[in-house]
Amino acid sequence: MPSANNLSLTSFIFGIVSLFCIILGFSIPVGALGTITGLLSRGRAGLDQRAKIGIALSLAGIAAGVCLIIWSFNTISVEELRQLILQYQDIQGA
Amino acid sequence: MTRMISEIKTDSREFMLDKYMPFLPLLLVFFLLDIASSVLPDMVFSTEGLYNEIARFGTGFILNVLFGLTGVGLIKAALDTLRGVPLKVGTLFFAFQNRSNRFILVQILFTAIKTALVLPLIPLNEYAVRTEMSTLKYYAFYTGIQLLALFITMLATLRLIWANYFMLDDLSLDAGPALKKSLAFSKGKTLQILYMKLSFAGLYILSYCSLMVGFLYVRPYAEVTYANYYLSRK
Repeated sequence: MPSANNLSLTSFIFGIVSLFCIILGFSIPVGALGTITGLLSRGRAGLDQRAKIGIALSLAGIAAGVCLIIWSFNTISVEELRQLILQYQDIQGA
Repeated sequence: MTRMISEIKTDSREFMLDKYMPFLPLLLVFFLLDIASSVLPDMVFSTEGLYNEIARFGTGFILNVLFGLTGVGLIKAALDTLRGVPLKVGTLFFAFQNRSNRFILVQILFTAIKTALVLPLIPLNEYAVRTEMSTLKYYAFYTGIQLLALFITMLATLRLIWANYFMLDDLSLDAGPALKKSLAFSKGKTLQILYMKLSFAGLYILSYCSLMVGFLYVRPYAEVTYANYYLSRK
């Protein structure tokens, strides 16, 4: 079934890209897409090897993205965050 | 029960493997209309005041009903896909072109139920605004209210959703008989249908995480699964 392979290949690619996107902060959306395409490639025979790896990489990307967000919240103090939001609002207002 | 639903879902996944692309233009138009129907009332009647509030509510209601008709188009697309009929973007507007009055009646009923169920939740939101909770807490609270509203609406319309399928299958069928047929169809299957609907929750959450792009895959899959369930149980 070539299309199942297409979906699992898509999942595999998204999985790898999600790991690269950790630095850019896009690992959660890309990882979510990888997980979705991987899960949708599952037929009666179950997941093929590529889809399994794709889902694993995508979940790793999501987990890394979540960890990065938590780390960011712990690193930046509430006061700094407030200042950043005020700066952002100034830019929006201007 | 769960086994039967998972069988239908597996069938739908296998069937859909090479059929996501034909859905793409339909879904893009559908999502654009979705955004327009939810943004327009706030954009046009943006200022405060009773008149604007009423106008915003009325426009929102009408746009919701009209947008619901494109949802019927998606159901038609799912049924067509299962029957091997090639998809066209025009399929999305099927309900506008074929005795639209009966589809509009059903959509008015759905939107009225939804509005009636969501209205009591508005004071909760007002309460959250008055208590001056932190932004993060407010968004968590707001999301909770929205999810609760979604769940209650889903429960309330669970036995009526098949009316659109019956009307799409039989163009001479009116709204009233279609609703009765839907009630009869879902009798004894309510838990099954609820389980089927809730089983997509994980994929929907992932789709939100993917900034809505995942819906391009998940929505056709879900629609084809519902259509598959309807065709197999009819």
